[in-house]
Amino acid sequence: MTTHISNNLKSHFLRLYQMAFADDLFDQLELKMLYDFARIRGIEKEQLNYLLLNPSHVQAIPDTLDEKIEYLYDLAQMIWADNKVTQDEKITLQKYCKKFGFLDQNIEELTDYLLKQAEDKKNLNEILKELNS
Amino acid sequence: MKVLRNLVALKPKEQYVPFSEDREDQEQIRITYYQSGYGASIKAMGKSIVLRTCLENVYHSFKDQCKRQDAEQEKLKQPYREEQERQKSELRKKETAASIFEEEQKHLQKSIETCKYEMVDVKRDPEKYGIDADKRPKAQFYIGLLLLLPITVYLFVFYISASYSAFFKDFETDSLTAAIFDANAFSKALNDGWLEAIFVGTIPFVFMGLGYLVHMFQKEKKGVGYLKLFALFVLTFAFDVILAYLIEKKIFLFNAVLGEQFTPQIAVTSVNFWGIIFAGFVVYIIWGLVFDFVMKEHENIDKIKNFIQHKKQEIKNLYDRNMELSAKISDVKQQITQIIGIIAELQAKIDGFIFPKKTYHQYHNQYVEGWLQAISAEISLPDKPKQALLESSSEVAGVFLKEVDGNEPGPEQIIYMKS
Repeated sequence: MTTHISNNLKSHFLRLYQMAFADDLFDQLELKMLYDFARIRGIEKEQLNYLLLNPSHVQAIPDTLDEKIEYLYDLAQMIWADNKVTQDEKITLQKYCKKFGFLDQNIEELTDYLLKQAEDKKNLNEILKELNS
Repeated sequence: MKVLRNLVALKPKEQYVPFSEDREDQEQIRITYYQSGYGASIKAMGKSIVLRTCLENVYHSFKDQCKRQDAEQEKLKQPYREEQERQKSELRKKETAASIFEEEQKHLQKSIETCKYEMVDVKRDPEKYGIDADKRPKAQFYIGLLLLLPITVYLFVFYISASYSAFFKDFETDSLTAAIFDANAFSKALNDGWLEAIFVGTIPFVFMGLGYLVHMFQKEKKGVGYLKLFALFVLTFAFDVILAYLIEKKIFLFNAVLGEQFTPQIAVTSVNFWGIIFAGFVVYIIWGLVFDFVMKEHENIDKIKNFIQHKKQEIKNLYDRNMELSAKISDVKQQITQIIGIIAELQAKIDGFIFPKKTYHQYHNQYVEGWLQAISAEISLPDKPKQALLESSSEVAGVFLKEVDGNEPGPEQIIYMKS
């Protein structure tokens, strides 16, 4: 059964693969993580392949704060997929934080925070709880 | 560290600020060029030779001015930047495609290797692949066949002899010692008549047919199959009992004294009677079992052959897919190279300098217009030389514009790329 993919989710996966490319090397672990993220959201491998090979130009930004953090955290996890963080990847994450509408003065700290949580392999719910408390 | 909640504070929604065009500034500049041309014309008395120098100055100062105007340059370069971003995104898309195809190709390669391994391994361990077969079906098949052939010959000999003895033999004339087994049964039957020979010659086939049915019913492996099997054994046994009974009866009657009657009790207590049954029925059962075994081994050889055939077809399909993928990868890589080229070209444009030809054309015209207006209004000359001055000035302006490639139809900008 194929799942309908919303514009929001499409944009999210396109951002994830752009992130995978940020260090100019599409690592196998990053590709695997991309498929894992898709599987968790009920998207089949073929659907994801189609989406990546035929990206639309729709760039939807998530509406809710929780969704924004969820997507950014996915990106941070994607950065850690190959067990290293490059400057390009960090800059890309900062760019997305900015794009998602977070305050300029917090971008650096927010990026570091997300990367630290991803490094510690924290659960998303824990992070949401921590940030909303 | 800040309170975490503050870390995720969002910006207030931005108000859309429409981009304001600096039309007034541009208008002012246009007027300035007109006035500049007008003033210069008065000073030079409208001489066309001076006009050329003035136009050169205007051109170079405009060019320098453009170079200095970073904001204006940025505005002109914006479409190239956007195009470059689009191309970069296209490049990522293609690189992902290549990566996906390459990943699939690796997977295919692995599948091909696995198939090749399975083709060899299935002979060693067929059960691993769900094939219910022995490891060495060929050897067992030939051993079974080796046993089956002599047993078949034995069955032929036995049943030809037994059926002849039971149905046609005359014990009055024949030797009693050959009552059970008669070495000349077939030739005697042939001497008696061809119908008799066919009868005794074909009876063994009836038993073999029954043996074949044993094999077929065993395949059913259901209650009904076993019931049929049991019925077959009973039938064959009964047939053998009848043969043994007839032979035993003939032997008895040959030796009987007057008034002695042959009864079934006499038959079942006779060694000959059981000898005939065992020499026929038991061997028939052995033949049936060996035949069943041989057939099964033959099927096993087929199963493994089919498996290997199936794997060969699978490998062929995988190779075809691999070829398709290789073609796609090569195509995508070619596109990647093209896109990298386009990005580099756009970068050279971005790093270079963009000369707004259309704008320059406007300013040039304004300057020349001012120049010509001044000749008409401010320079006191008779009509004819004035007209000649106007014409020569106009010609100089036209030639100059052509030289700087300013009045050629085509793109509105000239791009000086960074080499």
